[in-house]
Amino acid sequence: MKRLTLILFTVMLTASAFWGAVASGITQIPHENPSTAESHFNFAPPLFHYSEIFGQVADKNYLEARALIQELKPDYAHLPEEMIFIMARYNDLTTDLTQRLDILDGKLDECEQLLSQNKLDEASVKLGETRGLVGEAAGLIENISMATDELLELLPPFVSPQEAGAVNEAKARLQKALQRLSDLEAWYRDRLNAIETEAKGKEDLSATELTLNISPAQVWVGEQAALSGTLKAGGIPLPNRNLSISLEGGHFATATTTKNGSYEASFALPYWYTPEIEAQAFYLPQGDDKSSFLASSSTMEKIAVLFYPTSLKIETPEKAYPGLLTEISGKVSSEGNIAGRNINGLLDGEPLFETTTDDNGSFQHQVLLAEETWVGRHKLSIAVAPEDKSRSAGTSSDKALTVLKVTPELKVHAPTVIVMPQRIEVAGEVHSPLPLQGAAVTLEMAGVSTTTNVDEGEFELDLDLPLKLNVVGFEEMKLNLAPSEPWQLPTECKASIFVINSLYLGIVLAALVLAGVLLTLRRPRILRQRGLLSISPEELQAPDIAMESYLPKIKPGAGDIKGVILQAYYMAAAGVQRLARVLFKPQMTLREFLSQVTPTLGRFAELFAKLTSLAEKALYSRHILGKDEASLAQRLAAELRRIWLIISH
Amino acid sequence: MTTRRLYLMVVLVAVMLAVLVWFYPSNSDFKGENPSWNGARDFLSDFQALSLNSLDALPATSQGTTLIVVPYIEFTPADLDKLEHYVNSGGKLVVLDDYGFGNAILEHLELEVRFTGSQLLDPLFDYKNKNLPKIINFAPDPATTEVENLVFNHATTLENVPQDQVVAQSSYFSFLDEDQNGEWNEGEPKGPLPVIADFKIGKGELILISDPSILISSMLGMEDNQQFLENVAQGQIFLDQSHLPEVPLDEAKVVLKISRNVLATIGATLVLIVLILAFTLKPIWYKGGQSD
Repeated sequence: MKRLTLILFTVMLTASAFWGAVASGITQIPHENPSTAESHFNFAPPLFHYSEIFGQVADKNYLEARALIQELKPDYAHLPEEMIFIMARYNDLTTDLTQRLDILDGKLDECEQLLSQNKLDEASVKLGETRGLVGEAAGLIENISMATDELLELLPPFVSPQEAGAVNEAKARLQKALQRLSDLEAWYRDRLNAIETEAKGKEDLSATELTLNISPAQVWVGEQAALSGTLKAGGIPLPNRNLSISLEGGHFATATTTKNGSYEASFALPYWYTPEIEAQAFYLPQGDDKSSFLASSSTMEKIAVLFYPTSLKIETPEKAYPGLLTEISGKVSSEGNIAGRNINGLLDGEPLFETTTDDNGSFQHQVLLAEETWVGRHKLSIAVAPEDKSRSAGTSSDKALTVLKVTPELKVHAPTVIVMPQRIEVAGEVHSPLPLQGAAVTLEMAGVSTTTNVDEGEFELDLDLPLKLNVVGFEEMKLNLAPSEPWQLPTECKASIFVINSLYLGIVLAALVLAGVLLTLRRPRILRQRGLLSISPEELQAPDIAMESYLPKIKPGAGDIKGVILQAYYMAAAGVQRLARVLFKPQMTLREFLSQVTPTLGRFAELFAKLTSLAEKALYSRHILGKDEASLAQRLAAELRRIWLIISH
Repeated sequence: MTTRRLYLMVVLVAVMLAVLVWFYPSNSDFKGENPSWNGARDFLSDFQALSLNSLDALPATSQGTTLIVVPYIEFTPADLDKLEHYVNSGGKLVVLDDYGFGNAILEHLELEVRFTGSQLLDPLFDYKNKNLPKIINFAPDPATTEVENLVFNHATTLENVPQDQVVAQSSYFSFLDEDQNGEWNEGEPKGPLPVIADFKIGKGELILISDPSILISSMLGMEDNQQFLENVAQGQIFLDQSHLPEVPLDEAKVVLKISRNVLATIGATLVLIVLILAFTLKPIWYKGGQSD
């Protein structure tokens, strides 16, 4: 019993230890299951943010305000749908407002600038535009106020008590910022009015007229062009006034009027390889003129620019490989110079190569693409630089260049069935349209691997496979090819091989054969002959006094029915002991003995069971036994004895 | 006979427990065998990635391969050398870390960038709550192609990252919760904060991601996490499992695997077969002996 308790305790302890192992895999690593994570909205951050945006608008920091709006991306915000909708509307309105105020600011500055230069006509046009913008800004500010009211009405049901304090503070700031927006609108209206008043004051100044003539009408790049004109006020020439000449909108030269109000200037046309250049003359009153004359500008005159256009034809492969040379060629055509022209190649805007054309305008260049060039479609740009000495324009051409890597083809010759222990031999060929040298091939199978190098496109691998428990079955073989060239991709090949483990198969078969032989040798002849018992007659006849020594000797007196039954039982039990080769130990109950001998007795077990039942009644029951039961016990015992005698002889 | 039955029962229970431990799926974070929400089995199958139980198993040629490391166990100097060799010789090393030992790799590679180790919280751009921040600011980079937003899970941030190496940043509303009170306090860094960075080292590339959780099964399908990982992990992908902590279940599995490998040797198998035969044939042998 102690041993039983100890074993059970050990089993329970082991089980609990293993169960602990199963249940104790609780992580300390900080992440949570997103599907069961608690959802929580935070309203204060966007409200504070909008008040900050409006504050920036009120301070006329429109760029900063727009940058802050960019940070609020409603599509990704974790807020209720209604809030996201209003947020998107807020963003649109605020962006619109900042853009209009930005333009308004610029236009008002321009108006002030124009008025300071006495450019009254231009200033009047701009003032008209600014009036419209102020009205639009006022409308937007009103819309923002309405959206804010709507937002603040929607908010309360969503706000948790914990967040209420922060949200209330954010609401207060937002409303304060909105008030500042209204103040801003008023400020713009005041500024506009002030500028309009200033414009009215300049309406009494004298207007001026300025003319501009250019000769010749067509000029080669780098050659001289002459320009002339007059400056008058009410038909009276204005002498000694400085004029500004602009080309393509930029100040280029200065001229001074003579006594008769005329001016002349010459200049070298810049090397701008464009078909036309626009020129214009300006008069801006300075000093005392500011209180007498309005500014003026000439009409815009166009100069036709002459130069030799250049064209470029390039030839590039559609595909290129990292680490491999790629040829890029082309031809430059021009009526100007084509020899020694500088060519620049760019890949995705980064310098790739530089070369020059030959006497025929052709060029050819071998480009080595960097090993780390990523696979995909790239933009290849080839540019011919302009050449001023020959008045030849530059040009450029773009082409798509697909950079790729090739996957070598792997052919493997491996056995489909192998018998272990055996060295597996795998051979194969590697084919690639591009050079492939020194690639490493790794064979992996059953947890072991070996590597070799590909030699002239072929390889051979030997691998000693380990012996494992599996007797037969499929084992996966994996072959990895790792090329050393950057234009090759690694590849792998898998195959299932049927493996027969001969050693283990032999051991198992031997074990089965051994078991069979032993079973055959030990089976009792009687069982082989009659199929009844697992013991031989020799064994039954063999003397075995010890087997009977535990059985009590009963000698019943006259009328001792109990004694008769027990005597019959023990007599039969002595025989059964021999038949079944089971010793009736003193600590055994009658039922335990019966259960142990029953499998061996076969169909005679029923007789002994009945006899055991009678003996149990005799020993333990209060039931008064009759003579019939005594004679039944004797008959059963006699029958069993008869059987024993038959078997033993 | 009773004792014999008890022995049988003990053996049976032991075998049953061993079978249970063998087949009971791992529940360890980032483990390739773990099929549940915090495992990396989906990652391994979706990306055809190989799990590595030792850095010794790295291929000799690292070019064209990607090694993903979740450094939750301290590195040995030898391991750090292996990682350095791997990336220098052309491999792409992706270090996903939040509160682990990623900085040891960065120190070894003599880089100034570091994982801050404090939690990144985002009260506005998040999935469900501020512990699951959404990353919505990306630099143009091959790694961010077709990526609009990522979802992190109890992430951290990077510091000392040169601006041109930053691949992704947290939102303007995020902050680093250095005092772990769940709220932004004066002095705590506010967003945008770098969370992904890319460095060229030798012939290879090092990508730092300040949250390893994006590869667990429950996070892989979130927003563009999978697309991002597809952009990052190219060629043959290896997932290092040797720097993840072992829970008792894993240890029990390791013991069983070792036992199986021992039993797989010829000698042990022979002994086992002999024992089984002896045990099963004992009664027959016993009866035979008594009859002689």
